[in-house]
Amino acid sequence: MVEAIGSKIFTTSKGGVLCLLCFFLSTRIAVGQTISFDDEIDSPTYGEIFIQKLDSSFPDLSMLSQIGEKEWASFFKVFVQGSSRPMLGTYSVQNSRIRFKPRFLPDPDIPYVVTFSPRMLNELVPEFPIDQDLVEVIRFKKNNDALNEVSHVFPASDILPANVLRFYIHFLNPTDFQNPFKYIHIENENGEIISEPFVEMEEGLWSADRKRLTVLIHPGRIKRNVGPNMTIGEVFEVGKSYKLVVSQGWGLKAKYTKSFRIMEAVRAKIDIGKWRLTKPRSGTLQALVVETNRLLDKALSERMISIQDVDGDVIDGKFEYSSLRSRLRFTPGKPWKSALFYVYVDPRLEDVCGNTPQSAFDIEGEAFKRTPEKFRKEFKIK
Amino acid sequence: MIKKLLTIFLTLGIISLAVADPGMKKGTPDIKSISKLAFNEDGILFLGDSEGGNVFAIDLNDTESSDFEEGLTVEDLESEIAGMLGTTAANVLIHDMAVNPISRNAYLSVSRGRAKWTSRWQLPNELSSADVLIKVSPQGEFSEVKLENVEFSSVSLPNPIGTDKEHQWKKGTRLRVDAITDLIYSDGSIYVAGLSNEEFAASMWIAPYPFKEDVRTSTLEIYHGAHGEYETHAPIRTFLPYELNSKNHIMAAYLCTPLVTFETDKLGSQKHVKGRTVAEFGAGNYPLDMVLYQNNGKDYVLMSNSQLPLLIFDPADVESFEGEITTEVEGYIAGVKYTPRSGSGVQELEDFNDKFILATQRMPSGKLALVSFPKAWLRP
Repeated sequence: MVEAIGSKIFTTSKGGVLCLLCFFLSTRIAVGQTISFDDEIDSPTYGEIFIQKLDSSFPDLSMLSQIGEKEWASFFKVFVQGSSRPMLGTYSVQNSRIRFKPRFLPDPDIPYVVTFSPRMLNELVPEFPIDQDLVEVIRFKKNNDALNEVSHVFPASDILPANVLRFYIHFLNPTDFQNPFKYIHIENENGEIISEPFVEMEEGLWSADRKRLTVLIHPGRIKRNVGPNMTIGEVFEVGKSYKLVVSQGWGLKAKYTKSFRIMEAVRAKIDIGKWRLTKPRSGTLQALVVETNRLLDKALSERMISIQDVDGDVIDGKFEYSSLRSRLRFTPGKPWKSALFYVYVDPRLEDVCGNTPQSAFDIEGEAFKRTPEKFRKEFKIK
Repeated sequence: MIKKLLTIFLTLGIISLAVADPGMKKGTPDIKSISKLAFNEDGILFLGDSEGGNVFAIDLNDTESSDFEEGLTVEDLESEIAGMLGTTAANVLIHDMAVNPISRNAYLSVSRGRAKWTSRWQLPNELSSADVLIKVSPQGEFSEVKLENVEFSSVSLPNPIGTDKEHQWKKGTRLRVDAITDLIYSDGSIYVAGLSNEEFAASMWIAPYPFKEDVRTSTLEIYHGAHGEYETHAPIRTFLPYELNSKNHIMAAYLCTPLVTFETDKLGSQKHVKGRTVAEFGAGNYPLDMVLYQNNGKDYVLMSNSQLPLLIFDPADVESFEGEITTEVEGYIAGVKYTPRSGSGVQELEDFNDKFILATQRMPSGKLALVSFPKAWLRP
């Protein structure tokens, strides 16, 4: 019986399956019937599985249009490997082929077992020649074009402070719903995986479009003299090199690696007095360039900084922060006027270490104080 | 949902006469989502379609009477169904279950959506629309029920919540999936709980069956003691019809688990109906299902929960509860008491036969099992 052969396959080792398959493949050619399937992604019959005869067409099978699904499944079944319940789908005879169209598109990660019993078909169509049963394990190929990929990781700089707090991993397409931390790790110069560097949230900190993942380095390991910092220690060592790796196993086209070297930790609040401005000329659409003297958080720097005139009106334009050069560029929507302007900084701005203009992320013996202080830097366009 | 009605009819000694539905015609109903299921005593399946905003009555021709009085167990329900759907258990999502009281066949609405799960606050209908109906016989045989060329009739719910409205705190969840959160056939009508487009979104529709276009709507208001607020926006999650003090009532449970009673006479005849909150069973929890059963000749209600234990309460306690909860409660629990019963991870509940309640239960192994709780064991 088909079921018996099927269950034998399910319990045989990989090598055993291959041997058994070789046996069926050889007998299959002798009897002329063959199992085939369409795994061309763009094909209208993608996912369908066929029984066909190599040399001549089958005997007249038109009576099969009268039978119910149970009878079809008595001689032609498709299973998820390991399951004893046949897959749902519809059967038909088309172009001298017996056709099974599964209810759902196949999954390339799952092996399917196809069974065909000429003997059982013979009970319905007496002219059908009795041959060996066919059993075949099939896999649908992956559609590489549909695979996602990491487009870039911020901060882009390859030198990062030892207390770097977060990374942004950008994907080309929205990601699926899996625990991201199964696929992300940090390794040291010797290729050893760093233990527990992240705040692991199974659901991940995703942007609404699921294309940007925020990965937090465990703040308890960054902050000095708190539990994890004292027991496991800091994640990064100054002067050493590391790699942030996103593995291909996530269903990505390729593995993504970001290499970086670690410099001294930055444990001071953001001092905008140290920012250097390159001013554009009036009447132009030239960008205002702000050298931020340290790496700012890219996402926040593009949202938490504005350019305002003396009346407090916000100048329309576009910010772009280069986390490779620690440089913010503001391109105005309209040409600059000759006037006085301010670079206005929201106190919630953070650098890559979580320091704000109001307070350092980690300062010994100093309680956090929120001050009503305004953070702005004046510049004049001539 | 659940076949609570038959039991109620039996309990109250009311005999219901089978009513043929002259509106039924043969064809393929245009179902967008198999959101909720219920049967009447004649084996007619009522299918609530939140996405389509319709309720369908479907004659599955499943009327062969069963005298099966055993329990049914399926160790790994999701894997069994996964094989049929060409996938693995991790992708299979069971949305609802209903048992035909005549044949004892269990019907499950299913989709390939579980892999989309990211938060404990998500319910199956928020992850995907169920598009497959699976039948499990009392002997544990599985088959697909194709909803093509079937005898059916349908009714549209007036003014269900719009398809564009987003959930306040569940980012990315459309409120439309809660257009129908539960439905039950009772005494010649289908009662449908869910969200409408009215100012007070929490609503109940009542459609006399066989369907005509005379659906009545009431918006609902309750006092929720755990939040200390009157609420009109959260829908009923599960409910049961029950007679309290000689009057027909609906006993309904909401998110964070207030238990509220509504007078059935007021529902559908008044535009806005206020419920009487009789219990707070505990916050941070979705009540998932309720079933009425008898133990030692006495009525009890079994309730399954997303975060609280499987629990039993006595409708006689609801009946004798005086007044109502109208002030914020401390410690989240107040009013009618419940008895916790072992059975964590229980989700769907259905009256299976005289001896057993059929349930789905997430086991410590991670597998979802179909299990049978003996009513004799469900002693409070």
